[in-house]
Amino acid sequence: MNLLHKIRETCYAVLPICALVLILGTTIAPLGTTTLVPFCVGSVILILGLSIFLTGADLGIVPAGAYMGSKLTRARSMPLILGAGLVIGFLITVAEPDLLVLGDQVESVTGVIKSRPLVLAVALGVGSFVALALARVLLQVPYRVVLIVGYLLIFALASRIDNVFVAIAFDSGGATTGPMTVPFIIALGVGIASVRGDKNALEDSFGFTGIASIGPIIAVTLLGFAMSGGGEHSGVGAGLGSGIDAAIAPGEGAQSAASIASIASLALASVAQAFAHFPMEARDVLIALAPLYGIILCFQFFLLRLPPRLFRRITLGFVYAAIGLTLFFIGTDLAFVPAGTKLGSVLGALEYRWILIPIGCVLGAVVVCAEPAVWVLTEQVEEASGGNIRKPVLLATLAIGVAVSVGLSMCRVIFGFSVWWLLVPFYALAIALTFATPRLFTAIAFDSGGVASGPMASTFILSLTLGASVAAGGNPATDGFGVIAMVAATPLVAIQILGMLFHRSEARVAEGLGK
Amino acid sequence: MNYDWKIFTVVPHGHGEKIALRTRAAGARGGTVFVGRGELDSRILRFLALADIERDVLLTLVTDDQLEAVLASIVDATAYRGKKESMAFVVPMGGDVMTDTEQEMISIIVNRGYADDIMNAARKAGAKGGTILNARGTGKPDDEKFFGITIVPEKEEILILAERETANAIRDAIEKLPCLTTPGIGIMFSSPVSRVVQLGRKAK
Repeated sequence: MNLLHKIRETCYAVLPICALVLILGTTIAPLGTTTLVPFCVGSVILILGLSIFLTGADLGIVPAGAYMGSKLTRARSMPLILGAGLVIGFLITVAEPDLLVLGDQVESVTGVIKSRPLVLAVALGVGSFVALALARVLLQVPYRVVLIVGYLLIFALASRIDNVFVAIAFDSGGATTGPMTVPFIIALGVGIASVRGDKNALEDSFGFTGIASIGPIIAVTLLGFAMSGGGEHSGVGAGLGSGIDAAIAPGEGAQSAASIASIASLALASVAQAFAHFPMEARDVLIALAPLYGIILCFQFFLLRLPPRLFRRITLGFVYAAIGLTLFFIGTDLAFVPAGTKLGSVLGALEYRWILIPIGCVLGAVVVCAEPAVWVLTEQVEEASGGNIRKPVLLATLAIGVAVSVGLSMCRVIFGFSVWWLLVPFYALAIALTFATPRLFTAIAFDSGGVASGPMASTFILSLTLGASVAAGGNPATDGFGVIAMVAATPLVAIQILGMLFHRSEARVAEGLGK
Repeated sequence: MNYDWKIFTVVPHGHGEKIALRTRAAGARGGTVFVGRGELDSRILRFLALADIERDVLLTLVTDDQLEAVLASIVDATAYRGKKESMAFVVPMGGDVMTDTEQEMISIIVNRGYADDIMNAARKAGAKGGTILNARGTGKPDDEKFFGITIVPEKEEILILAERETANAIRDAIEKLPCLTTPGIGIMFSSPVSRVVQLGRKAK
């Protein structure tokens, strides 16, 4: 049964984090039962949610994207394909809950940048870059060229505008690649490649998410370019910092108030608290999924015409995805945000602060394995490569990449150097590696950058870094921004190195067979 | 080399390669693993679309004298697994095709997307299960070009093992499916199956 299978898989992915947090929380960084009990309850909800979501993604979102991709290509009309790419990219982004939250936060903190234009700019950015990614496949422009032009443009623009805009731009790049959009965009690419008979089809299956996540960054930097000169930028950075400070504070107050309660009642209370959030989370998820399902419904009537049983399956898949994602978000809110913040602040206040670095590495490595979109990507890669590139290998590589990024971010928290000293070399290295890596792996690498910086990174890792940064007396605004950008950058290098190793061992096997 | 038999081994996903190694040790020259999906035999789970299981299908070609040893190695390699969902069956290749076998393998190759409707109809007609493989149409000389890419049809192949009488009913049911009336949507053919082996824990 697929659900049970998924539950087992997600247990392998999530339980290590739980064990690690529990060990840390009872030894060097005592968190107390008021954090640990809700954490355990939240983890169970999260595992259930993630399994149900992944089952739903397999049944609904992924096949729908794949059928759409293949039908669009089959229709053989360039305007239709580009138009559909634009509309799909725009609609699925504009409803992304993460992006709406980011827009509101940015508006309330800066005052200058309004939420609506920001969200529209980001959605337009994603839409036009999904269209661009489609055009690239049809015209067979090398993937590398698009990446180099895209990133050069970003860094050229970013050097000219205010740092706050750069921070928001990179953040919005991460926020758009949410757990619903990514599987769909990946599947769209796989679908387009699946109708092709040529040998390049496999390597063109991936890379759409990588291009799509350039879009919002360029869009926001352009927005910043257009708006530069208006508003007092010096005050903006400080404002962002204090906003995050305020966001962290309430968690600590609640802590002492509940410390007398026994563990059992605490567990009950946290379940009750979790389900008090249910309607709100469910609404967010539905708002985000509705446009996607709407698009598919439209396509079903006008273009797809899938057979009845299959369409029923896809619809059921969407229902599961909605339920699963709601539970997943409840789980992260209950378990991972408070535990991450608390853990970070306790560890950051320790005398031997260097311990943040190894702990950050280990936590980074295990957290990425619980990222929903990561699972979808690795599954799709395994399937598209006919089982050649195995799921555990990709997961392990991603884990190493993210471990490095979180470790480096912790170094930054302690030593306080600018994120640019890390970001620029990593992106330069990533671009340079595209010349030496098999193209399939370049595409997977740039996809996984967007995929790794999903909801788990932006809740647990971000809270951990912010907590550590506050306790260590750093600047949470810049530290927090840096970590997500880093989580998105290191997989680009890690996966490409894997690709080179893979290529070498494959060549050796081929040589061995030839003898 | 002339092979006389095709062995299909259907096992849970991830076990195909291990069994292939064992068959090689027993004398087979190689093997090919397809990844497919099957369904559990539960009405409720099927209704909820939760009955899917991933499967590996291992295809091994053997000669007359290798057959017994290779089959034994497959039985041996899977002996520790649960009894459910695993089986091996043997299809003769050419020569004197036996028409008096009790079992048949129905293969249906259709455009992608119809597998669920087909499986549903087959089950109503008495099929106990089936395996769905993803496939692609061959590159015809008149493949459609569109900008830099060549477009080929996507296909699904469905393998159903059934007793001779049930097989007829299944074929009828599939032919009558309303969504399969378009000409050229797919083909269906049957092969005789000379032997079926249930794999997994030995019966007590």
